[in-house]
Amino acid sequence: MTLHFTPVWFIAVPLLLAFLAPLWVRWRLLMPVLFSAQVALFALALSWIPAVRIAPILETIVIAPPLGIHLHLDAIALLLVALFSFAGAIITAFIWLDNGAAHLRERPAFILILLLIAGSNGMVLTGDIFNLYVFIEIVGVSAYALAAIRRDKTALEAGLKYLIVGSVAAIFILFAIVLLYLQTGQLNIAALAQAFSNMPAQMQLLIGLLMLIGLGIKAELFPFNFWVPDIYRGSDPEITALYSGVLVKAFLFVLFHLTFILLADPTVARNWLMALGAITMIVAELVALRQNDLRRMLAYSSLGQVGLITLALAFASEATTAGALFHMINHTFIKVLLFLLAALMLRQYASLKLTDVHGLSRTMPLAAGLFVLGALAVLGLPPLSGFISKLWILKGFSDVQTFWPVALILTAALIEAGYYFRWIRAFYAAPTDAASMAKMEGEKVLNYAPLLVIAGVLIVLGVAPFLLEDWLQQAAQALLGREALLNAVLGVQP
Amino acid sequence: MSRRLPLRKRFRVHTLLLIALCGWLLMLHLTLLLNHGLDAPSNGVGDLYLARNSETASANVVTTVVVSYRGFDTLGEVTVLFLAATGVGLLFAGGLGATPAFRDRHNHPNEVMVTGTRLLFPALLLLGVYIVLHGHLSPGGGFQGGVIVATAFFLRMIADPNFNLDHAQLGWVESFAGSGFVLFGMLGLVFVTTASFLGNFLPHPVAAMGQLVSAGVIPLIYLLVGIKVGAEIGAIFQDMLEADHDAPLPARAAEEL
Repeated sequence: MTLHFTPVWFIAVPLLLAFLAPLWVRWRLLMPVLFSAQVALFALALSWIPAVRIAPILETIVIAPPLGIHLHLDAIALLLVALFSFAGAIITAFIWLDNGAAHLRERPAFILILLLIAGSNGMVLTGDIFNLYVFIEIVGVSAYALAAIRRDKTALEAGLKYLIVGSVAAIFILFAIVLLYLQTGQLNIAALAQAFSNMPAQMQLLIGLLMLIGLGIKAELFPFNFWVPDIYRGSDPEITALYSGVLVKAFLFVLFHLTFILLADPTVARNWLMALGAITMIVAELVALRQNDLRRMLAYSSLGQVGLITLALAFASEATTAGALFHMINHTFIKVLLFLLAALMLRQYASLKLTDVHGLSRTMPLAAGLFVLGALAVLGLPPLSGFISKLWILKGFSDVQTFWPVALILTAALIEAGYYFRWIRAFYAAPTDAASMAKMEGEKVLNYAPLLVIAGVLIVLGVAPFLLEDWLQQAAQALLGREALLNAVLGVQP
Repeated sequence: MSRRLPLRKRFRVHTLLLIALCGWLLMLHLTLLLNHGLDAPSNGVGDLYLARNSETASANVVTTVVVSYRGFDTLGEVTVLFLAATGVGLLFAGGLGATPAFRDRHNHPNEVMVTGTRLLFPALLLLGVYIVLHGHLSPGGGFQGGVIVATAFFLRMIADPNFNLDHAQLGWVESFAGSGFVLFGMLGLVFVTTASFLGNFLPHPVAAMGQLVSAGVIPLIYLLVGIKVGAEIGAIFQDMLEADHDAPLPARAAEEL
């Protein structure tokens, strides 16, 4: 009997811990368990790096692929699992240290947060399309319930909306999977990829469209993202940090993983997906310009960044993909930082409307300072990491003489600068209402500890991007390497 | 809120168009499925599972697929149900682990209901347990049997206003079954003979196929699934009955929407 550390731990351990929740309730260990689970999984992910560098790891469950379910741990999956665990640990630490939001420290929140991250891990690890659907359901159901977890009117409305929109999206994905199975008789993604080009062209188009609509809704791409701001406005900011930082990234990965694997020639979909990304980015940034509520502004800003990542990933060149993956990591950190700051501000201010937060820097200097840091990182100013990732993307485009995305990305950054500085100006303006200052108390540095960690990471990655460069290159190769994956799973040359 | 609006404002044109669009898409999809589903390819995964079934010594192929070959999916589905039960508990009652609220005691169920339940309860319970335990031999299994057991208790809840399922106890039962499932999976990983998550590490000789004790871990896992499903559905029923009467704050907020 030996103890194997295998990729299934990323899924099985959180499931086990979630099922054992009554124990943790009795021993009053909910938050420590949640936090240490994320930290342990992050450490486990780091310990895999040397092995995955040599070759991707395939774990068979019960019977070998293409018959059975298998987990596929390659550089990109490892990168995302590590990212999700790290973001999960930060958000959990914040909830734990924070003295507000008691409903996020109870048993339902424990189960839902743990399983949301476990499901996201499963989505990036699995090599079987029906298993993928199961994980989409796990992530979906936990996200719906988390949206409503505050149980007041706005939260319940957000939860209900999310439930309906998310279920519709899941049905589209399920339809596509049913058609794929009927056409090929296969469920393994690699085996499907082999059989996909033999299908009638119309059927390929239909399946592609169904997938695009389903995953487009889940990954918040225009024109399927009409529902996002309401949900980001209604749920707790700690939860929206999870949506923007973990959930959307997992769905973006699934969208592009399937695109690059199923299509023998990804350039077929390139222009469509790039257009989708570009429109998402520009529309979201323009709408963000007009938002007067901080959380709605952050939601639209998040959509804009998702559009940017989509634009860069869809181009399917190694340089832009590596840049997009780096930007994915940066965006996760930045949005977790900004949403958690919004959570802290909500403890002090009744509303986060632009007119109500004048003079915030007087009462919460640290929060205002960190907001400036996050905003500069989104804009991509050196020496923050957002600069490097945007630079890589722009360089990737200009190296192959494609200049229209460069122009669009720079325009979007200008618009971004416009609205972020509007908020920063409000924070540093003179307070309008002296009476509202009365209830303010000093900032507790402990609350800020997780946020300072993120700020540190943003600066370190900005100064020393070479720490991740190799890994990101490998991840980009893994995401684009269709032949290598088919070869690894099926053992044949396609 | 919408009750006071005039009719023409309640039925917006674009809502109706959206419904029509969904209906059209559904018809389109059904046509596609019916055209392609009838002549499904014969060399798909399903047929290969069928050909290999004897190696697990489970007489019911569906169970082999659900619990063994695609047991990982089943673990996921059990988790989805677990999440749904958590969500319902969160929204309807005062959260899991809260003390059960008392239902309306003045609302006496009628005589037919009470007598019928008295007759049906043991039979339903027996049927549910039978279906769970014979999951690897005959149609049905943990999911179906678990729901039948939960239904038996649901009938008792309706027939007897004093009958409550204890949330805390249900939580423990559910926790035991769920973690048991994962631990079985991990044991499969630990044993060298299987070395795979959810591997069938107990002896499962083909000679025993069709007997009650056969197919290794499959009936044991299905039993755990049955316990878990039963406990979760029972908890959902209990939550809904409690919320029905003394509508706590969230339920009232939901009505306002």
